[in-house]
Amino acid sequence: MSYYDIDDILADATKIPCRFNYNIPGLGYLEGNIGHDIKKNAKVELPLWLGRVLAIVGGDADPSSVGEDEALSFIELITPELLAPRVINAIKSGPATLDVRSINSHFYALAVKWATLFNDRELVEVLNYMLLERSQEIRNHASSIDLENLAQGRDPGTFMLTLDEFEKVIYRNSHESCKETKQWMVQK
Amino acid sequence: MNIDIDDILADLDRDTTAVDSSLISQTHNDTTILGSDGAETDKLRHITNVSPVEDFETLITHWRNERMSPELLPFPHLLMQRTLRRVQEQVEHIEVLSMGYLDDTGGSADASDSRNATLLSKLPLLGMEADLERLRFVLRSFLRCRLAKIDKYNLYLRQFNEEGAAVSLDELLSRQELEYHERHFAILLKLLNNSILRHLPPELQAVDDNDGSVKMVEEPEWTRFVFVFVSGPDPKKEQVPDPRLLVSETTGQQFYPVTIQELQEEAELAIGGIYVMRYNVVRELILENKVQLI
Repeated sequence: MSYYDIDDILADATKIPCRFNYNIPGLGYLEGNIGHDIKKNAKVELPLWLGRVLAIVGGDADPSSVGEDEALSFIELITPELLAPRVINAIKSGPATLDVRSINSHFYALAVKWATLFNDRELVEVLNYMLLERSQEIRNHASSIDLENLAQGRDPGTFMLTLDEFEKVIYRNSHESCKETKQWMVQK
Repeated sequence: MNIDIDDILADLDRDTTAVDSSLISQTHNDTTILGSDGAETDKLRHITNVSPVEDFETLITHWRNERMSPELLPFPHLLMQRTLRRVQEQVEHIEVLSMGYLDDTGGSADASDSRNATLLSKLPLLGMEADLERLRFVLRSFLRCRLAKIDKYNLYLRQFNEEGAAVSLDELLSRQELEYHERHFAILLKLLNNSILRHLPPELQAVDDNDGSVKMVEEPEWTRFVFVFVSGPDPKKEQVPDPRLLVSETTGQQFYPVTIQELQEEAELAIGGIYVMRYNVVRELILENKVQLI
């Protein structure tokens, strides 16, 4: 995940629900009403690249935070839909049948970012399990090549349609290497 | 009662091999580039104790390591100097030889016997040309791989220029690569500046800003997994036993102990084994040539 990584940029643009901890004047355009103030406890969907910074940076300068023990950050991140308990349970029950793509096309990237942000050990374990289970499936699909079918661009199966962007890269790479090895073995 | 006389036999062996070591190297030479060039081989051995065979093998190791490692490895200056000079010499050698064939065919093209002879004697020439092509391919691939990495770690490499860097950039890159790096960076910077950066506020114009939310300088992926083959110290060079090498108590096998930082775990790399390891774990062993990437 580097600065110029396009997939990373796309993943960072995903909207995350946030709640504001302060009244901030002039920021109403985040909510859609330009020219107004943003109210405390207002729920706004912010892209991750913005939410991540605002959730860390505190409003020490704000007079309302003086009385509190800790400086409260500008916003509070609310667990997004893609990591809801519903999804976590679905992963635990059967990673291979989960339609990751319909949840979010950058599921892994986002989940990893989320886990780093909150030091979420449990989430990491679930993700590890999911990746291992699914990569076996990906590997199966990648090695058994139906060259003719693929050459004609036919549907390689429903599982392929559930891959997220990260898994697609894995699939593509392993598929290419399998295909090229076979070609080399056959053609000499 | 058995008397172990292996060391006495080894002594005798060494004496006999010392006599015809040139012969042995000749028979081995068919895998190398300068196979026919016996005179030069001998000359080199007397001076620097290197042979084209060994150099080629080292080059292949360097090539493989460079292809698989996430970081840019130090440039093998002396090795490349020698190899490039040999390529040059071999090209000239082949040219001189083919001149000879021209004369031969001109003089005795009428007799079928002699034509057959010239046909047969062309085989060495073909072999030399194919071999030269092979070496040149490896060289080209090696250099292109390095150029690709220089492109990728453009900004990261510039940090080596600053004071306090562990390795100076001159050791890491060859002269030509240094020039490429400098000028390519200048061109890239000019493009970015002219198209986008000059429209931005001044504090956002740096291309190597690491204080923002995302680091702009891309470092090599130190923790990437690589396949390694543990070759152990070079058996040809008789030297003092490797201090890093330990002997396992349970199996009696030699291994290198390495520590995986993140897990606080010790791992044993047995000699002759193949492992999948994080790059930063085996980096030092790779630089010391105890372990090869595959």
